[in-house]
Amino acid sequence: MFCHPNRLQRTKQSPFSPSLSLTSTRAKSSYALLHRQTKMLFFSYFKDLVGREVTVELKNDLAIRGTLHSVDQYLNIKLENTRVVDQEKYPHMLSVRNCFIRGSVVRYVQLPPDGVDIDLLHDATRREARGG
Amino acid sequence: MSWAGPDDFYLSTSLASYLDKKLLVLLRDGRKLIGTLCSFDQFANAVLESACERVIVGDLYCDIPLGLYVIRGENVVLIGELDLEREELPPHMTRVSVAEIRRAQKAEREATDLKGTMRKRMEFLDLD
Repeated sequence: MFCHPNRLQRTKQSPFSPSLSLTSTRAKSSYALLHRQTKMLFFSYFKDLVGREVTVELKNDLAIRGTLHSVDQYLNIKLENTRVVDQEKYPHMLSVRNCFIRGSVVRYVQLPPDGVDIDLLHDATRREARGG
Repeated sequence: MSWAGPDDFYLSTSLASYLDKKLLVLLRDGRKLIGTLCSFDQFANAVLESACERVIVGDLYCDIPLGLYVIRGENVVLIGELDLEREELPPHMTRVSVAEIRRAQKAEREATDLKGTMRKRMEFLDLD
């Protein structure tokens, strides 16, 4: 079941694109961001929020508060120091302190109000809409 | 799931850190599976060893043993690491047998159905 995603990604890329690893932190360089801006805006945005306290609300109405540990290209989320918002309704979650949340089941990610640089986000969105 | 390169060790969302750990897996249909993670892939498909399903009805619970399970990733909601030093369930909950939990599940299902039919019958009253 193990499959190196980079191998898959390279076959999709055109021969003229730089073969930069999407998951590398070097991708934070502006050139890489500009080139791969399509589909990467929220991934880049969440990467900047790593270490902040967020509340993830899932499609099954479960809401989990925790520190954002990591995120990936599918917007899967790993949280640490988690606690469930309505603990009594979900007794099975009592001893869960770290969890992996599949991106496809997230409804909302509630952020700290000072975690958002609105202007930067607007600019990035406009760039993506234009260049994507 | 990203593959961790040497730079990405702290940024990886790989399930590798959960290997051989006792996990709670929540599925889309509401089931809770508990087991040890044997392997996984980029779709969050997972293989759980010594898996059991924890059925909870009110204050009653039961662990039904399932053995070796392969879970398709699209059904996975959440994979949580169970902290062995903490109580997995609140102390007021009691463990019961499979037969009893099935009875409790049936009773809960019937109560929900009854609520549904009663609501349907009251709808014509337009009380709202």
